Amino acid sequence: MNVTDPIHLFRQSAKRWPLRAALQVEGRTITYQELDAWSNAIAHRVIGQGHAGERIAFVARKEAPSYAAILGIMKAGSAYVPLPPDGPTTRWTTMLQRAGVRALVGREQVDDLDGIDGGEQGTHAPPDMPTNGEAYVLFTSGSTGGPKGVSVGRANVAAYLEHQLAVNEFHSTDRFSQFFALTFDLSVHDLFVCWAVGGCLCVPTPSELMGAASYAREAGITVWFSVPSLVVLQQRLRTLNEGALPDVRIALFCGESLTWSVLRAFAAAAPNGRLINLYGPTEATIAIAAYEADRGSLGQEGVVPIGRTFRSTDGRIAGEELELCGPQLARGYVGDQEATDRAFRVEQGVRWYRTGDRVRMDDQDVLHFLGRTDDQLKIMGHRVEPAEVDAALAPLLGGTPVITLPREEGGAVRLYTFVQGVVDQPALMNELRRVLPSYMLPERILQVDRMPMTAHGKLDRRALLEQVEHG
Amino acid sequence: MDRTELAQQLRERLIHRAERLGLRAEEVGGSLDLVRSGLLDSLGFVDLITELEQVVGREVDLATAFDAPGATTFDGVLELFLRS
Repeated sequence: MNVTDPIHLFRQSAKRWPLRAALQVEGRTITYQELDAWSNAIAHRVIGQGHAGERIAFVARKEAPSYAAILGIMKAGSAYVPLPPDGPTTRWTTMLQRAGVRALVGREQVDDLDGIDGGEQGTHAPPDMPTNGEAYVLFTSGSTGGPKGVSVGRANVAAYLEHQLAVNEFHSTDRFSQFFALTFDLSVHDLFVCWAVGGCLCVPTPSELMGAASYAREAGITVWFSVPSLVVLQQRLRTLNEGALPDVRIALFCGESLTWSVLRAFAAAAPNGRLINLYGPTEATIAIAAYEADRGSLGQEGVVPIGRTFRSTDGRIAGEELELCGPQLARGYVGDQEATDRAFRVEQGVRWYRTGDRVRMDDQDVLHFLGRTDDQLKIMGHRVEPAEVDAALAPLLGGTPVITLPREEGGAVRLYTFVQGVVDQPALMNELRRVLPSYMLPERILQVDRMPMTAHGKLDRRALLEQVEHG
Repeated sequence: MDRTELAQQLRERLIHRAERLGLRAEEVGGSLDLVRSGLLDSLGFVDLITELEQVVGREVDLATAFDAPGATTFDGVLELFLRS
């Protein structure tokens, strides 16, 4: 067994510190011993109902049963497929079909799925299942319509953990934030780095998450990990005051571009914290590059570099696009071999992933993020392909030209959808609410007489966005 | 500013966006969660609070704004201002 297999590491901690808190959620503290036993019980049920080695879904609420479900599913040698708790359920259906899911752990009843009890009672002996399979399937926005499932192996996660545990001194006394949604691969870092070292995973309620700085202070968080947007939100809430987070000793950021001004504000609030900017697409398992900011360099403006790739990862720049290879590269997209072959290419026996991210390397071999080669963007850390909004509207528009564009507004990115001709905006928005998560909904749908073109015959995006200002 | 006036101010700021989202005017109120419904994102929600602060002429305790259950609902926003 790989020594950095996530389940192996959890079990080691459970054996070493059985009575320590593994999880604090909804006012409840769960010890390693309790979480180990609970997840063993789920694993036995998964195996007993004939779903070992399959993909198993659960509704990813940030509640105790979800954490036990993740461990239980993986202990059964299966892969977990987290469903966004806010739906929409039509999106669940697409995800479940694309991933070929046949069972769900938890209390929800979903058509055609075998229900597996996620309760604490039952057999508590650890099952002995293979650990070299798939760990999870996470869905991101897809440009050709509908979500795209990334299949990540346990060996991929093990490679990530091996790096993190080697370069950062996480301790069993650390209290880790769990700010990321469980549908987001950065949550895998939260859970398994914490449990690898015997730490306590601190899960805020949705309302506590909005006030993350206050929560972190009260919960005694020592390892902070968030998207930069969460820091911006704390600034707006006037809670990111100087010295407000004295316990934070490691602060990690990922999922979006981190600006020096946001990092400066966080550094002042967390005077004892190391400041690390991580970078990586879901397809390369959580993160593959890091830049640790020196407190002496905080006076800069612009965007913080994404740093150097991890030791086990090789990166190269083709044109301006970053391409990656190494043990963290995911298996591919579920049910979409064509997209997998397009993004993951084998050259002379080496598999390379095209990130779609434009970068430059400076003379210190430090990578700087420049933007995307396509239209993909990040909204509160979520990957969004504006074309997915257009694809969702296409069946209602019957060939009418439509385009969704991003617009920067007061530090946040918002989407605007432009449709040629007269349309029923509430009806279109209702349809979008039915099929898209809330963070992908456009701020407005605007009607245009005809799509403006540039002198070169291309769509004039600037002219369209100017219409937002003019109402 | 009393509860009725405050509710009116809040509704005025939400109504157009709600209509675009396909929500009926009478649905904008009570336990409607302004963030989970997709009406606002979290930054938009905080912007709404600060805009209301200017209208009301005083600051609320944003540090504890989200402590109460249902803080991001229509009624939750009213409570935030009424208790500050």
